[in-house]
Amino acid sequence: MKSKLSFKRFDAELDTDVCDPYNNAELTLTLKMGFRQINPTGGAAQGTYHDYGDATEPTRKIIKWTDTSWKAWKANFVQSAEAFWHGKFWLINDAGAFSFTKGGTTYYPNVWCRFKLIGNDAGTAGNHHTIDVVRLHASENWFGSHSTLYDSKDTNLSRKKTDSKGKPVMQRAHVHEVGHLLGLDHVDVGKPHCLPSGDTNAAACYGIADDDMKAVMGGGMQLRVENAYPWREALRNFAVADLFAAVLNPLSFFVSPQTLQLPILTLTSVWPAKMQRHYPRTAAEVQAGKMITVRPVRPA
Amino acid sequence: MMFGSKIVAFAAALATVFWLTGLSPSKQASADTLAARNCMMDAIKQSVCIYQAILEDVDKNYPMRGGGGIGRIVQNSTTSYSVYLLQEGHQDVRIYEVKVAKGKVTITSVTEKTITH
Repeated sequence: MKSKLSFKRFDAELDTDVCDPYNNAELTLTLKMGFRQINPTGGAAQGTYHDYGDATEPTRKIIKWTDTSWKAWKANFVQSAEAFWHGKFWLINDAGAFSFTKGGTTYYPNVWCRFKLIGNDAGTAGNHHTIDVVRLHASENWFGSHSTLYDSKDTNLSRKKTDSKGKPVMQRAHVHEVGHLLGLDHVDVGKPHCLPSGDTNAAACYGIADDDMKAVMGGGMQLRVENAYPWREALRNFAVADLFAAVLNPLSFFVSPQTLQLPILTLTSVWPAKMQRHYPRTAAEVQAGKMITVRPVRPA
Repeated sequence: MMFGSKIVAFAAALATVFWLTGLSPSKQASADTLAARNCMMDAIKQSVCIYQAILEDVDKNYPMRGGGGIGRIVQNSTTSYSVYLLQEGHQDVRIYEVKVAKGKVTITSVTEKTITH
């Protein structure tokens, strides 16, 4: 069964048709980004643009996009950001959801978190986010970008912080930005030095401890299990939608309670995230709390 | 006359020692003392001392080493300065309170705020 939900930030599709004793359900988040060129004024080959698009801030040299450079930049952005976020998490089925029987054995699949990034031009209908992009002159190493204004070098690896041993902490800014577009906060939000009620863009929110500053939602490139949050939230919403459908059509529910693809328990279950493939489990394996990370032998 | 020539001889000997060792009274002084002296000279020297103290603190204590660096430093009042540090999506602003007493610059407090773009 395939179910779809649309959110403000992205679309989600839950696919249980792919489940078998070796393959988990798949939850794909699709992010549609619309990119818009920022070019020098008057059709000039070169010009300047203010940091953050704010006329009171310093200017940087920019150059005109060409068709080739625009296509290449978009392709690189989409390919590298998608590769970074796609297929990195598995949500462990602690809700008894999606059970299926094969060869007389009942299995409980986990959920594999997939990510699809679509890079459109800004005029395309249905984009979740619209982003302006300047093409920096070769002599410029930095531009003051923000959540809706990127520069052509945001896909490059650059130094963000320095750890306690004096080593640089490097990041490709666009993967961090895509994390925000998926709904992720900075790594230290919620800690005493970065309260959610304050400005969560403050330097301290990017991580103080070495491990934190190296996180992708800090100043580095490391993924963490908590970065599976958007997929977990999407899954919770599928459970709510499923329950809502049952309430709207109670007759079908009482005739066949199995129509609830995600049981009510899903609303309160944790779906703990792992960063390693976990295979579907049998009821006995679930009860024993066993995790299957090596391909098991299952009856045909 | 004899006494006067002894003083001259002593001064000459002292100058020779300084010349040979490369030492001089001003070079021996600590950076703080040196800054304090210069700070007392005129308003420009005093401003330079204050900005140097602020810049040293930013270099030593501001952790976000990437970004666009220092965008500007603005004097808010006689004893208050704001340093704007350019970062992706935001600017960190470090606000310095300084005290200048007897030509010596002391940073009395540093607070931070963030401007989100």
